[in-house]
Amino acid sequence: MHESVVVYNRFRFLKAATLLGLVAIVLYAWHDPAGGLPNGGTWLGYGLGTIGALLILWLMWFGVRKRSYGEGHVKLEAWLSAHIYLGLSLIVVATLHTGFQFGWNVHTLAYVLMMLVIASGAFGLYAYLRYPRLMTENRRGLTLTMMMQQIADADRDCRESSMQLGEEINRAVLQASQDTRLGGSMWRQLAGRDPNCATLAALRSIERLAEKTSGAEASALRRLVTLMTKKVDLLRQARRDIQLSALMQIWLYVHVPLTFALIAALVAHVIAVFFYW
Amino acid sequence: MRALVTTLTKKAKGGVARRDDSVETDMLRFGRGADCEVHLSDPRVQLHHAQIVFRPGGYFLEAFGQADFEAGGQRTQAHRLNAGEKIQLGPYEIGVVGSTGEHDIALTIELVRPLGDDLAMLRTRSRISLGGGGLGKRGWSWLLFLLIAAVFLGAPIFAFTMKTPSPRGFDPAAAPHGLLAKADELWLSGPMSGSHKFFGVACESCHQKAFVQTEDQACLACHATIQHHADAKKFQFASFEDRACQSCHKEHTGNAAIVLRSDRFCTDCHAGIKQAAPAAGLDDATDFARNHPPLRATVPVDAAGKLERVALTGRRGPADQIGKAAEQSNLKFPHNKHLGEKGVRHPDKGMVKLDCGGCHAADPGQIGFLPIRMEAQCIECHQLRFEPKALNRQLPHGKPAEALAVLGDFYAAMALAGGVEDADAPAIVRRRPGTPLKTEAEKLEALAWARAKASEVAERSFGRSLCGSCHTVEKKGEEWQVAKVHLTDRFMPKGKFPHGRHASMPCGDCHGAAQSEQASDLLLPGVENCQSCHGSEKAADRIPSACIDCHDFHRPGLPPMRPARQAAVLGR
Repeated sequence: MHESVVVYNRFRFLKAATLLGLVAIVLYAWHDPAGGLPNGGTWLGYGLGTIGALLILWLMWFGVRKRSYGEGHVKLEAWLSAHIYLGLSLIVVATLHTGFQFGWNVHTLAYVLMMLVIASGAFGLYAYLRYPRLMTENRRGLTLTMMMQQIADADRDCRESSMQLGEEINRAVLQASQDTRLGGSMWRQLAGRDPNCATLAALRSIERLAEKTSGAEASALRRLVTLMTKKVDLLRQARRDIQLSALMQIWLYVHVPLTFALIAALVAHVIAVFFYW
Repeated sequence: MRALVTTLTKKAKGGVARRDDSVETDMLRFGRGADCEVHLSDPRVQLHHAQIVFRPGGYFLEAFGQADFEAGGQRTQAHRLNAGEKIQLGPYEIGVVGSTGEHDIALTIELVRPLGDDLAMLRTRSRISLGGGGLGKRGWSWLLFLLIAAVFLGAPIFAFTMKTPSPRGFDPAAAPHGLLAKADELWLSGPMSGSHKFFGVACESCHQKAFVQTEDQACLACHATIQHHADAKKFQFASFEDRACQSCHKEHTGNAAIVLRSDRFCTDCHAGIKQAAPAAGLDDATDFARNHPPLRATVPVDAAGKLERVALTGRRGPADQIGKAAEQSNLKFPHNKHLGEKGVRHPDKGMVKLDCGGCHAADPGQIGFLPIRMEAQCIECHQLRFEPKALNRQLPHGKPAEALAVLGDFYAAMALAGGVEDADAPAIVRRRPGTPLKTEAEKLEALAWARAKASEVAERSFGRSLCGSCHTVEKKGEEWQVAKVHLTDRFMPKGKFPHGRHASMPCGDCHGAAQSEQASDLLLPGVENCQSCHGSEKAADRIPSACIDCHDFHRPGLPPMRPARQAAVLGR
């Protein structure tokens, strides 16, 4: 993603969102509800609530719109820019709608879910602005497939160069080539490293063994250690790549399901308010 | 031995390639080591894995060290070879062909379990994308949506259908129990007001119909006697017929909004009440500090007790009240003499110093004071003794005819008994006590004295020394008339002044009693006196004071606000 989403049309949507937020704040400060306590049931409360609910529905429409890239009159870039800024403006609109009344109820649940959706979206924006460059730096011209190919090649090289070495070393190398994995569970992918990496464990034990050997075997071991070290570096690079792309995906796993949770809570909130009017 | 080792390799296009190696050796070693006769280049095979040797009984396959192989379904370290059998050595299968013409032993070797493609295996082991596993975004979306909809929408609606509102508001015994019945508490939008908390969890007490705002009947179930704000017949616009209780009384914001405290709700009308309702006789008011009409006391203004509202002023303090607004109570009472520095003369105790509390006792609610009564506050000093020689006798208070009768009886009895010590009295009543009166003429003479004496004492007592010192007394023919006393209980019936909450202030800060010589002085302060401490609703330098701090909206004494419905509730 390009930074143009942020600066799109000279911050057109930032300006719109700021205006909306400022108008809401001024009205909130100016209005003087019965009993002196602002809440969702005053004219301003109903007004801000309606704006907020419509905004949420419109923001959700982005999920539909983005699937039809290139269609429609408005560029997807404009949609996304508006999605980001108007989404952030909900922080002001919805918070003022609550009148800062919070409790263990469906109303606060809807608010909390909305804030979590916004927070995950904000992280998504951060991820798209920051991680692609880190990814490029980390890849050094390779793709993940190329890295994996090189890892596989390294495995074969290691096995071959350990073929004439002792059983213990041979077994370690074989284990390293058969048990090493990239990524894995969500946490493992996000962690970007594998504390139980088979290759790293094999390298450590080979290094220990190398200390006890000498002569021709020692030079064969040195070559093996070099190969294994190269493989460990490749693994580290691949895992960082997987971590960065996981970070760029993970927020959507929060953003989308919580949005649907929010819609359920929002519907329950609106119905509850008028059911028990 | 001479051995023939045939290496079998499966070809990609099908079929098998064979490569024969003929070996002449003492022992046929299998292993990945370069020095092995049969070189098996696979890391799953040991450097020196096994060897075939000839021993008595035939050819044996024997493993080196810890290595082993599988023959006849058994893992073993030594095995005699039989023609036709297959032996698993690591990933290799060794077929024993037996002896041929040229060779003592012929074997086939095939890699049956190759290591496989490293890249493909790495891909199989690795999961490098977040997608694919678990519920996925769509699954989680549905799950959360349905879960929240069920718990926060379905369950509360079901809870509502379980309940029927009790006709008398909340009835804990009739309320359904269980977790599901309480599900509608999830909808509670804010804290209940303090007075409603005891039934606050029973939503159906107020929310009796779905999608209908709380109806008056729910409120009237408890507040059946709530009064009007003004006389609805005279001031139709102040009847609030078109409003529901909940239009003004908003619940679920704690104590803040259930009783409206904002002046705005009063000044909406009262800023222009003089024009809007001239008959009400009210002045406009918008703000306690800046625009509040003078306080007006409702007091009797003539001897007959006609009530009027008299404006109070007291800009320079309590002393300013003296001699201005007049109250006609038909009493004579110099406050200054009672509160004098030297005190007052008590009949038995000598000089006694009085203070306000000596006579004015707070009512139990600490709002006003108990009424002043002769029998309670005055009589200790102002005893109604009429005869110095009979200090134990007193006239009854408040009953002039009875008092006259007491005087008549007392002196008649004295005349009939004799022994009167008055030098001016006739001899017949001064006779020795106990001497009986002999003739009718003597009796008549004695009683004539008694009547005259009673009349004289009455004249003195009623007219001056006893009754007349406090009351306005008039003699009409033979009848004494004491003017009816008009003591005011509430000087300002439309306002509230809780004396108890002002108890830390000296009485004299508001009431100029110490300087007042006349009972007609209306010793009440003007609004300016209040304003020295109390400010506007949102005052920063005074006690913030809203209309409702002194005035009720639903006014005590007025008829019910919603007569028909209230009668229905009360009659049930």
